[in-house]
Amino acid sequence: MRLFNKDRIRLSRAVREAIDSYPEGLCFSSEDGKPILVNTQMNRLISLLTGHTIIETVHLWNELSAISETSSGCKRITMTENEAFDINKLIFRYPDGKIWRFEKSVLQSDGQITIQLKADDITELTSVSRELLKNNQKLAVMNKRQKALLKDIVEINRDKEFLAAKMRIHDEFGRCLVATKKALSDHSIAESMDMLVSGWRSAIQGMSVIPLQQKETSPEEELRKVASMIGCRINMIGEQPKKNPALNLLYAAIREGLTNAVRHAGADELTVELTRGNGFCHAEISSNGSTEATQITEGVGLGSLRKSLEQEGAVMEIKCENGVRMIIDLPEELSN
Amino acid sequence: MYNVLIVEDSKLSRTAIEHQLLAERCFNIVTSIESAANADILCMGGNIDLVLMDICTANDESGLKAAGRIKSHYPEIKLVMMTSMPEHSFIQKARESSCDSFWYKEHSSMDIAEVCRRTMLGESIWPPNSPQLSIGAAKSSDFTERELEVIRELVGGHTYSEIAQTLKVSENTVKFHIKSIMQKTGFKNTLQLVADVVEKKFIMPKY
Repeated sequence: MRLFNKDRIRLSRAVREAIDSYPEGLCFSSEDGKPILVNTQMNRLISLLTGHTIIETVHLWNELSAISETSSGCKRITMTENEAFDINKLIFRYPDGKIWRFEKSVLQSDGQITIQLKADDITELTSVSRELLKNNQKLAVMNKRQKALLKDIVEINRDKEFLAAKMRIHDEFGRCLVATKKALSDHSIAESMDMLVSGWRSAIQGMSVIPLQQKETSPEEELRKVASMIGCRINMIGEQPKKNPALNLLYAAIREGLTNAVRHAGADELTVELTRGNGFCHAEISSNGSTEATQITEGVGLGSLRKSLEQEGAVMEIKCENGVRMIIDLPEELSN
Repeated sequence: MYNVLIVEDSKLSRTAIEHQLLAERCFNIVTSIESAANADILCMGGNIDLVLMDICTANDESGLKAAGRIKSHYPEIKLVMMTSMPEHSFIQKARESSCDSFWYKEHSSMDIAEVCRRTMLGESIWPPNSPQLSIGAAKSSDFTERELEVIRELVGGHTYSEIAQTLKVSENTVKFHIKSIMQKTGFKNTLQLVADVVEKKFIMPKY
């Protein structure tokens, strides 16, 4: 029996020595907070934070959670600015510059509950995370620049395409000149007459169709034209958003309203009422078509419109009272 | 006489195409518009036999998407897709939208009037490939399908982790593909790659 007790004491000492030599902080307690095993590192860390060693763990965790800064120079911090708050994790910077993360977890074994408190030195991890965050922020700036650059390139490409088309016509003109000069010097005008006349006609026709400017018709102009070609008139009341993509989304909604009003309700007049305020454009789209519909099943068109609108923070509602009415609230400042 | 709708946002190209078709005398141009978004509305009118559709149209509206809508509602309308952009995926996307023919404005040996005439007679005219381009030191055909997907995501301004999520692969796999792309092209960074790819219109993510 004595031997057994001696063995138990020896084993207990060995466990304590092993746990004390563990470089991180460790504490196990019963469910009610009574400490079972606490290593030296954990007691040291807790003493620096609270001024006492661990007496019980339930209140201790509440005490730790309430600390923002201690007189001993410890300070509560977060890993990164955007880190989500977790009530079971606390991070403190100690006066020696080390950063420790305390974590509370519940262990279950044979129906018995043990509370584990763990303290890990995350000084290096924090420094790497902050570096990573900085790099990600730099990357985000680069991505933004890249997107801006892409937009410029697309615009430049449009101009290049226009110039290339002009060049092609000028080339044709040049080829005709060379061919005519050759025919004159070869005294073969008569034989080449048909070919030369057709070449010159085509070149002159090409020159005559070069538009003086690239400016195209406005989206509103084109939509009104298209609507009138299918026998529907658009009444636009109120002021439209000034910029894209809000304006584009509004037009997408009007097109959807127009298609449905003509196809399903036989309308020949579509009314778009717009009011603006508080950074939103409120649009109500209705028609003079059949008022029979009592409910609408959203098909591909309306479904895809709803998705595009909601992606930009807009709200769409369909009302079926005396005809179908599409109501949209569209934020005017959208990301481009 | 076939009734034609032309969807083309460049006034210069539009006018040239109108002239070529009118010279054929078998085409009647119902109207020409600039935005593909309005094309399916016009098809509702019931008097269109052929739509000549540019891929990149006004307000960045995609002719490919409009073609899909037209073909799903009006499969009897013939549709010729046209573009001056050598974007590598356009031919495949046009086939997926059930277009009848495809015409490269600058790289085709056949003129547009002939393509339209033969399409109306039931033929399907398709170029075998998109035009070959040089991207850095690589040819456009040197890239694998996966590499093209990665480049497309880079052009969209996405980060490596976003690309990994979209393509359902690990970030290391994305880095592996990017390393391979850089080796093939000889570019030093992805910005150079993206600038070259977009400048040459090899990838146009909006369409």
